[in-house]
Amino acid sequence: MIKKLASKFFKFYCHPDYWVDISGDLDEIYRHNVRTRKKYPQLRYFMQVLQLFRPSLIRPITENSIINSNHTIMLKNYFNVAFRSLLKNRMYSFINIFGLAIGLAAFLMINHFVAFEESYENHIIYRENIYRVQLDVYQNGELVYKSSENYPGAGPAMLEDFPEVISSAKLYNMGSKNNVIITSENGEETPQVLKHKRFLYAEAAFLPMFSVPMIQGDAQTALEKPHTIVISESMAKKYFGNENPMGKLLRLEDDDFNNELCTVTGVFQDIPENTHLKFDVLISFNTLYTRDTSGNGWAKRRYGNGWGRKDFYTYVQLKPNADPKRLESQFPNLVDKYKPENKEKNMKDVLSLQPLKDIHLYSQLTDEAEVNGNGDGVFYISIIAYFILIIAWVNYINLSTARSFDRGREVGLRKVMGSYRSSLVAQFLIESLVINGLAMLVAFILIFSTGNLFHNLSGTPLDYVIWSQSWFWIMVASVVFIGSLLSGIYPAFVISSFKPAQVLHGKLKTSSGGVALRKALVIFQFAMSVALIVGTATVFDQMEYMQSKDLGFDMEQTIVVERPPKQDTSREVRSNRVKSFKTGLKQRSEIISVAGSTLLPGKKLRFKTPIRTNLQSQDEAVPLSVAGIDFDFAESMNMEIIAGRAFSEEMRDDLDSLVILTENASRALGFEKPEDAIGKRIEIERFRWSPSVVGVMSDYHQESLKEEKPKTLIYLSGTGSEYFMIKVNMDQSSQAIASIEEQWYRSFPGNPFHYFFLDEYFNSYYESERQFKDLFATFSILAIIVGCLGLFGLSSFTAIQRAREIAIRKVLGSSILNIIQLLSKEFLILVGTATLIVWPLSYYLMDQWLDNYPYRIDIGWTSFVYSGVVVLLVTAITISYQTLKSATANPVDALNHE
Amino acid sequence: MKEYQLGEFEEIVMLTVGVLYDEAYGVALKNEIEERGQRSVSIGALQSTLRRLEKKGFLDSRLGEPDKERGGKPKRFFRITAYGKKALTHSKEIRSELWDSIPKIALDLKIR
Repeated sequence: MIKKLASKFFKFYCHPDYWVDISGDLDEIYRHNVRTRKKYPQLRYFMQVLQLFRPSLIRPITENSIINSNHTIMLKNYFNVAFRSLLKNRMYSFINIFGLAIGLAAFLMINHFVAFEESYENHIIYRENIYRVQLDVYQNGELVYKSSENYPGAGPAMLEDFPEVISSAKLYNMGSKNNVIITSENGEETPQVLKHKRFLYAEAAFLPMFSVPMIQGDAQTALEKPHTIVISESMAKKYFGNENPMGKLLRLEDDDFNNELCTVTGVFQDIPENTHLKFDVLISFNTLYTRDTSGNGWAKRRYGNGWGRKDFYTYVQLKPNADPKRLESQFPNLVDKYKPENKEKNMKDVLSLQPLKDIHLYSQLTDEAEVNGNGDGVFYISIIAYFILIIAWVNYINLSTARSFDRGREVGLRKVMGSYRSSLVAQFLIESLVINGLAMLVAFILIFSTGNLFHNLSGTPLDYVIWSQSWFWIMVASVVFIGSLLSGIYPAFVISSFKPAQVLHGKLKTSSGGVALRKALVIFQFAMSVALIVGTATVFDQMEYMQSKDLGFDMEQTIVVERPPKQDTSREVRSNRVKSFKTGLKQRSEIISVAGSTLLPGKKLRFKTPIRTNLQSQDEAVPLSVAGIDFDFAESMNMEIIAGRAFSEEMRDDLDSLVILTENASRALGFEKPEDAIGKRIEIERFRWSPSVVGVMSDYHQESLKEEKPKTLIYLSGTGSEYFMIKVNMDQSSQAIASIEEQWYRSFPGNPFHYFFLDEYFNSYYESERQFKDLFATFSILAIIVGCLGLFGLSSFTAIQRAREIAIRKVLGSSILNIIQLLSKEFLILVGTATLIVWPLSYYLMDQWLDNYPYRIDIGWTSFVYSGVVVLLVTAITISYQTLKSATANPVDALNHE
Repeated sequence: MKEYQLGEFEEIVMLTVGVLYDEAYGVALKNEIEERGQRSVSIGALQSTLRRLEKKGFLDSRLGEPDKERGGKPKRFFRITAYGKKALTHSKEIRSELWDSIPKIALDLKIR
C-alpha cells in the first residue's frame, strides 16, 4: 500500500529519462530488504522516494512534460493571487494565520504529551505478549483488595500448567522494603556507598523477557547464579568510573541484616523514562534462597513457590497467538489447586492478566511500582486538542463566509473574464493551503520558541521528542491537508457559485445560508469555550479541595529520614542507637519533636491481615492494615485520640499487649461507638497475638485523597520504627537539617544520610493531577484566545460592512450607545445561546470525571455563572474595539463616497 | 582549472565507479561506498550526484538488459570518461602536492 503510493509519487515527479533505472534500483533494494527481513521495508522505500526528491532528478517544469505549461502558469497565478489577497487584507490574514498557528501549536504539543503517555513500554520488544498477573482478593464475598502483586507460586505454577505461558518472571522488593545500600569494595580509600530506591530482585527470565538491552554480560544467564548483580550503565559509572565493572564485587546491605557480596555479571543501558518499572540495580532472585539460615527450606517456600504472602510482581509472556481470555478462564482451577484452604476460610482469589501496555495509564491497583498516569486525563486532554484545532478551522471558515461579499466581486469579475468554476475552486483551495501551510510554519516557530516551557508543564522528559518519529510528520502533513480542505471547501464551492451578473450588479447580499452557517459555527465555537472554562474551574476546585482538605494529621514542617539500612544485629545496640538519635535531636532548639513509626503518610500500607474480636467467629474476621508507632507519634502528627488513651512511655504493658484502632477500624470490627472498643480483646491469628484496645484514634488519610481512609490497627513499635518524622522550626530548617545530619552520623555511623520533606513526598501523589490541571488550564485558555481572535475578526468585519447603515442611523439621530447595543447584540446573543446549550453537557462530563475521586467536590452553580460571565465579558471586550470605533466614527467618512 | 573541481562525495562516487569498472550501477555503487566508507548513502544523494557528473561530462552511461529482480527494469551502468579521468588525476595531484608540502614537524607534532 505505502509502496504502491510511493512508487506512483516517484513516477509522478521523476525525470522521465531517469525513471526506469532509478526505480529499478529502488525495487532491487526493496526486494533485498524483504528477503533479509529488515524492519518496515515499505517505509524504507517511502523514505528513499522522499530523499530522491531533488532538483536534479525532478522532471523539468517545461514543455514536453505532463503538466503542460498552461497549467503551470495558472498554478503560479493561483499562488500569486493567494499571496496578494493575503497581503491586501493584512488584518484578516494575520487573524487567520495566527489563530490557526496557535491552534496547530496547541494540537501538536498536546499530541506530544499524549504520545509520551502512550509510549510507555514501547521499548520492550515482546510488550504485546507480556502480562502482569493481577490478584483480586475477596473475603466473605467482599472485594478486599485489587493488587498488582501476587503470590510467589503463581508464576511457576502458570509456567508449569499452561503451555501458552512461555516465560514467567518474578520481581521482589519494590516500593516498600528497598532500604538498601550497596558499597563498592575495590580497595578505594573512600568507597562509594549508595542508597538504592530503584532496586529489584529479579528472576533470570526477566532480562530476556523485557528485552533489557545489555552492554556487557549475557541477558539469558546474567541473573542465574545467587549473589550476582546487574547494574545500569550510569550506576557502573558511579561505582567504577571508567574501569570495567564485570566481575567486580559489590556489597549489599539492608535493614533485614542481610550482608552479601555480589559479583557484577552484567551492565544494561539506562532504562528510559517511559516505563512503569524503573530500576538501576537487579539482584539475582536465587540470592533470596541462600538466606535460609535455619536450613529447613523456608526460603524456598517463602520466595519460591509459596502461596502464602503476596508481595511479588509476576509477569508472564504468552505465545504470540495465545488467547489471554481463554487462559484467564482456567485460572480459578489453578487457584483451587494451589490454595485449597481458601474455601474453608471463605476467601476467594481471582487472578487475571493485565496487558503490560495498560499498566501506566489504566491500572489503579494497590502496591503499584510507581504512581500511575491518568488514562482519563490523557483522554480529556486529547479531546481538548481536537477542540482547539476545530475552533481554529471554524475561525477560518467564518471569516471567509463573512468576506464572501467582497470576494464575490472578484469571482464575478473573473467569471466575466472567462474563468471556469473549477479553476475558481482550485484558486480558493490553494489559498486555503497557503494559509494552512503558513500557519503550520508559525506553529513550529511558536513551539520552538517556547522551548522547555512545555516540557515542564507536561512533565515529559526533555530528551523525549516526537520530531524524530515518522508518524508525527505524517500527522503534520495530514493536518495541513485536511485543514486546507475543510476550511477551504465552503468558500471554494459557495463563493465560486456566485452569479456574476448579480454580484456585479450589487444585488447579492450576504447569502442567508452563509449567515446561518456562520452563526451556527460561532455558537459551536463558544459552546466549546464555555465547556472548557467550566472544566478548568472544576479541575481547579477539585485540586484545591484535595490539597487543602484536612488529612487528619499535620504534615507541615516535617522532615523524614528512613531508618539506617546498615545495622547492628543486636537488638540492644539498635535500641540504644535509636534512643541516642532521638534524644540527641530533641535537645536542639530547632527541632520540635521526633516520632518513629512503621508507616509513612503518603505511602500505601502494605501489610493487611484478617483481624477479629474474641467474640467474633473466624470467618467474620476483617482485613485491617497493621502499623507500628512510637509514643510521640500521635501527638507530633497532631492526630486525635477520640476514646481511651494514647500509648504512654510510663506503662510497660503498652509494648506487647495493647493496640490502638482507627475509627474506621473500630467500626469495621463491629463497634458502634469508639468508646465501645476500649478494653476489648482482639484476635490476630497470624501472629497468635490477642492484645486489647487501649484507644481509638480519629481517621486520617494515609494516602492521597484518591484513596479511601484506611482501617488500621496500630501497635507500639518502639525501636522497630522504619521512619523518623522530625518536626522542625521552619525558619531554621537548613540549620535543622544540618543538625539531623550530624546526629545521624553520630548515632548510625557508616550509613549515608538522606532526608525528604513529608509534604513534598505526599503531594507527589498528585503529580499526574497537577499535570492534568496545568495542561487543561493552559490549553483551555489557548482555545479561548483562538476563539476570540476569530470573533474579533468577525466583529470588525461586520462593523465595516455595516458602516453605511451605522452612519445613516447616526445621521438620523441614534446615540452612540444605541449603535453599540445594535452591534454587540448579535454576538452576545450567539455567545449566550452557546453558554446555555453547553451547560448541561459540561455538567455531565465533569460529574463523570469527578466520580473517579472518592473524595470529591460537588459542582457548584458558581463555576457555571463564572463561565457565562467570563465568556460574555471576553466577547464584549473582544468586539468592543471595532464596535466603539465604528460607533464613534464620523458618518461623513462612510457616506461620502456614494 | 576550475572545470575539474570535484566535491568530496563526487570524488568518492567517481572513484567507486572506477573500482566497480563494468558493474557500476546504482545499488552496487551504494553498497560499495557504504561498505568501504562505513557511511550510509541514500539513493537520492547518489543518483543526483551521478546525474550531475554525467551532465558535466565526467561520466557517461548506458542501459543494460531488463532484469527480473528489478521488476523488469534495466540497470544503468556508468563509466568514467577521459575528461572525468583528467579531473580525478587533477584532484589527486593537488592532494599529493599538499601532502608533500606539509613540513615534517607539523605532522610529528600532531602525532604526539
